[in-house]
Amino acid sequence: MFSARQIHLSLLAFGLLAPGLGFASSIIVNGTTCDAGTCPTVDTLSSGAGSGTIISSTPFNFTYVAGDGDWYGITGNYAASNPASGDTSMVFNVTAKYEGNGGINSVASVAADTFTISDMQDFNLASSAYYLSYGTLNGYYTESTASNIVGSAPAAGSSWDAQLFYNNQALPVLGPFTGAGNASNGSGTALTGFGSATTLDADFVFTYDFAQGTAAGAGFTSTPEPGGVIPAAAIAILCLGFGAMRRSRVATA
Amino acid sequence: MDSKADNNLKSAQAPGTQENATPDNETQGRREVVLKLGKFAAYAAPFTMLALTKKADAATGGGPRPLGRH
Repeated sequence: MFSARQIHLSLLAFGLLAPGLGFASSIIVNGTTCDAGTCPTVDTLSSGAGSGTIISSTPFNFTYVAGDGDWYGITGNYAASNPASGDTSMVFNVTAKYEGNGGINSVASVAADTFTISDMQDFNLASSAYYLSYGTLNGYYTESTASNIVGSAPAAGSSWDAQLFYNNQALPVLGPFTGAGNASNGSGTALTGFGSATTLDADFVFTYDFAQGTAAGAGFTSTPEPGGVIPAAAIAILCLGFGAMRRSRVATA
Repeated sequence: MDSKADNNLKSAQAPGTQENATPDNETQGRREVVLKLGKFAAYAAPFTMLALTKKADAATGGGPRPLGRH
């Protein structure tokens, strides 16, 4: 039998997890093929009352096979939140890596391949503080992404870009990226076509152009490089400082 | 000064107090190490936090924010 303490802890854990249970974003290839999350129906996160609703970071992993037989490994994660008060948010990360032709092998890509990976997520803001205050969802919307090479660089001429749409209204294209970089629309882009709509239909589209001759293992990722450069520099400074201090102590002893 | 007050004064000055008031080179060196370490940590912490934040920050989208407050 469970003790009263165990039951209380279980209820607490459920209460913390419940807002994110049962929801998922929709990960769609070329605007038509659902490969992860909930499809074809796109989940709607309601701002509701209290803390709103969230989708915790959720991984996905699948293979996209182009018409010419080129294989691409697609991995990443998505997350979203719709608080009762404050901005909606969505996170979408994708790593697209060429893996071979006709399977996972060392054959370079036989032709150029273009495809899109989209994260679709709906948000209901009817009872949000924003809608109740302004009577519309017109406002500034933000987007940003990082870019990096994963494995080796894809063949010359390869690139990718990202673009976020809300109710079919486009924010600027981020990119195209051919390697490492960052891009954003700064403090936001004004979208004014919502009228009295109470639902945001977000569609974050990543478009990939892989040139012919891309080597197996080459690809792009929206995940930033591991944040090790600056901490490493700080550690190096600390070590150099220690060395200098030790020398100073020896000199003065 | 009476003898009682004189005794109190003597007891307040414990043996070795005069020597400890002036740190030796080793103690002074330790203090410098701690101080310099503290300064380095103070400088490094914000950059480390920035790097960690940057790592967590990836492809994101959000809104809306009021048009009048841009």
